[in-house]
Amino acid sequence: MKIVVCCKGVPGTVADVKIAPGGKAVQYQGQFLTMNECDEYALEEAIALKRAHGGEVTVLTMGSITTQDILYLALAKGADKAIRIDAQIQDSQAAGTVLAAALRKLEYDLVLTGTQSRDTLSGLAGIATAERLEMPFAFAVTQVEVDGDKTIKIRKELGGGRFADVRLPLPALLCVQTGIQPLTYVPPARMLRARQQALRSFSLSDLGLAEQQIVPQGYHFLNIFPPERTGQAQFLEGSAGEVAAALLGKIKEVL
Amino acid sequence: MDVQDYDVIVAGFGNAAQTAAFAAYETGARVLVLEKAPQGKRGGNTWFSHGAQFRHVHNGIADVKPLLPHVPEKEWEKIDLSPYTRDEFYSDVMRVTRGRSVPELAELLVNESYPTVKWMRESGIQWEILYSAGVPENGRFRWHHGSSFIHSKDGGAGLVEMWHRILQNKGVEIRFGTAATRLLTDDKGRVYGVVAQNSEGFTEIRCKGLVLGCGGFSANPAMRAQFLGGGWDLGKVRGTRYNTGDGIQMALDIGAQPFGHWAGSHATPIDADAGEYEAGFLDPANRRHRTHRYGWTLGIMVNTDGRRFVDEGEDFHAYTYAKTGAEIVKQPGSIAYQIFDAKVKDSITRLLYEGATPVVANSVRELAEKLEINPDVLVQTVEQFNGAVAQDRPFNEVIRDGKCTKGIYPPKSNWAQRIDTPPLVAYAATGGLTFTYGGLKINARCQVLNRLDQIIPGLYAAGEVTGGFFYYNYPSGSGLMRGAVTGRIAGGNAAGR
Repeated sequence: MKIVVCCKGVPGTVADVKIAPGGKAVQYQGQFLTMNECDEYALEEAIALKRAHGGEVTVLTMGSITTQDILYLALAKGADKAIRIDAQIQDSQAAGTVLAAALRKLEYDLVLTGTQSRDTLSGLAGIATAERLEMPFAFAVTQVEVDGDKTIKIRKELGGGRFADVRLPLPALLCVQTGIQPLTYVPPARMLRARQQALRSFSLSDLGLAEQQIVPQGYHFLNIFPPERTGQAQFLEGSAGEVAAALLGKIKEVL
Repeated sequence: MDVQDYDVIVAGFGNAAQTAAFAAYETGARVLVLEKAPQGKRGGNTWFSHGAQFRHVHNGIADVKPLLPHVPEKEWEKIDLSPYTRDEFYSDVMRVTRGRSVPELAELLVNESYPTVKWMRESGIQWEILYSAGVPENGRFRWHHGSSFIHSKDGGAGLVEMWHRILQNKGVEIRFGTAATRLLTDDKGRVYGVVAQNSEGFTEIRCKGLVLGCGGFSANPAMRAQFLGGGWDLGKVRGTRYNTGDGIQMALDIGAQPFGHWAGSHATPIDADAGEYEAGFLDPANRRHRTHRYGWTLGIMVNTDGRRFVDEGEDFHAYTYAKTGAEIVKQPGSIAYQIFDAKVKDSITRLLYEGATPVVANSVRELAEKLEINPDVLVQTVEQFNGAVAQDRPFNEVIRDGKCTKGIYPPKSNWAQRIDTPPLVAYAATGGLTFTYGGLKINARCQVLNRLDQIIPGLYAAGEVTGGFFYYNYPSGSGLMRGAVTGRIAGGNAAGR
């Protein structure tokens, strides 16, 4: 079974998300990047499926050369091949166009992604990719079962703690939910060995894409900004009775 | 005190400082270079770089041809050169530094490597093909994957010479025998000048921007003892005696942030007979008989106890030579013997063991006696090694051939051949310190940062003065490349235009 996993390099913690000069994009340049947590689960699921059913796992990312680190982590965890698309694309719909173009150059039965990235939280890239490839997909997948050569059965989350069991023909794309597999530890020695593997890279022109083609029509980032601090805390003092009265008064005001 | 005024001051006169001086000159700035050494000793560590190779990104012959306009077409027809991509260079830096190199700095080095060597060519630096890294095969030359392809004409001394002439022709003022001793800062923390000292006394010189390009601390025994530890206080220094960490110390004194691998250094196997300083050559005054002993990957290396202590075939020497000096220094007496048999004679000749004193013997036992190693131990080491050599594939020194040993420790991962064909030859090697890795923290504009990660206005750093590029090890040819990349950026920004 040939599986491709899409992984994104994101700033190390949410607090590290910086805004690029100009205020229209998240800054990745000069940021310490780690693998997006949701994508780590997609990777673990891919490796688990490979162990159970044989085949090959290829990890695909999009970013500058500094994203190599997450590719090596993936190889150390058990992926077989790693590919980097040399592009820095903020918007998830545009990312979907680029990922789809890269996938068209690869052979796969299954594509796995995470549900959302911790810097943009859009949750769209996987679905957008499936849509561009006209491929069946499922979102928030918690279980994957291979059902013969050409089909899989998956369980996905619905709201309110409900689940749905769905059968999908292959090839398909799954946005897997966190926790689908336990995250595995990579011993440092294995990480060092993984760095001996060669990585493949695609430029946008290798994929037959020009910058203008991939910006979604009519969709422009106007501004990205940190939260404005307007809040303040007011301490209510006095006895329990006095505080309770003051509190009730404030609630009445608001209502 | 006498007070003078310039746009940009550059401290140092090796590769990084010279590049910075020219880049600053190109912006129209009035530049002053301060070099502590007398003119006859200028050039820092660069002067002692024998090969002066520069590792850069390229797409194969099409990209390197413009760098070497004097090479005739017929020559190119004999050359096999595969591309060295940005991904490969970045991956090589990250691999040998065990993932520690600061991504932003590694990315800067990689992305700016080709534009910088091209700019150097356009500025008047002449490049040559690094034939010593090519392997001749049926009348053609093939380069190891990841070998540098170019070096400056006449090596490091040639590079220093060429830049010196270029800067002189442009009228850039250079003061030899003049040391920067103290940085001057105003009450906002901006560096506005330097106190310089020469034989006549002290001068205050003001500037808009100052570039520290004056090397690491390899020649400072106190700093070596303090930061590099075990055995390095008395270690041999391959390069200049002038890299005493002055620039780093001056910047730390005004609150710059120490950064990178301060206990780490580039140290290589060198001839055990090399001197204390300028140990890159057995005859440093004439730059003769370079002391590189980089052939150990093709043989075995033992200490005075007769035991192996590293995986000689871990990788191409280009990726391991810079960390192997330290391994030898750790051995008893800081000595190791590189042992080869007749099968690799031609390869060793190509590696230029000039002026070396070979110890030749017809048997392992005889060799041990000549080296004063316990013969029983050496015989056992070689027999054990020979017995473990896998015979499942051919030896090929141009690739990582995977011809390894099985079941012994340390293993030999590549290029393992039985040592069985007399005459056997041994060369005594020790570790020679090239340059230190720890330095000042910089951003991608080569501005120096303070301990709060804020930019120190007016202060720039280039070359060995910077920390954060190399940890444990580095790929050959990337040190000079780093110096030129950071020099060009620092010099270009220092005038603040």
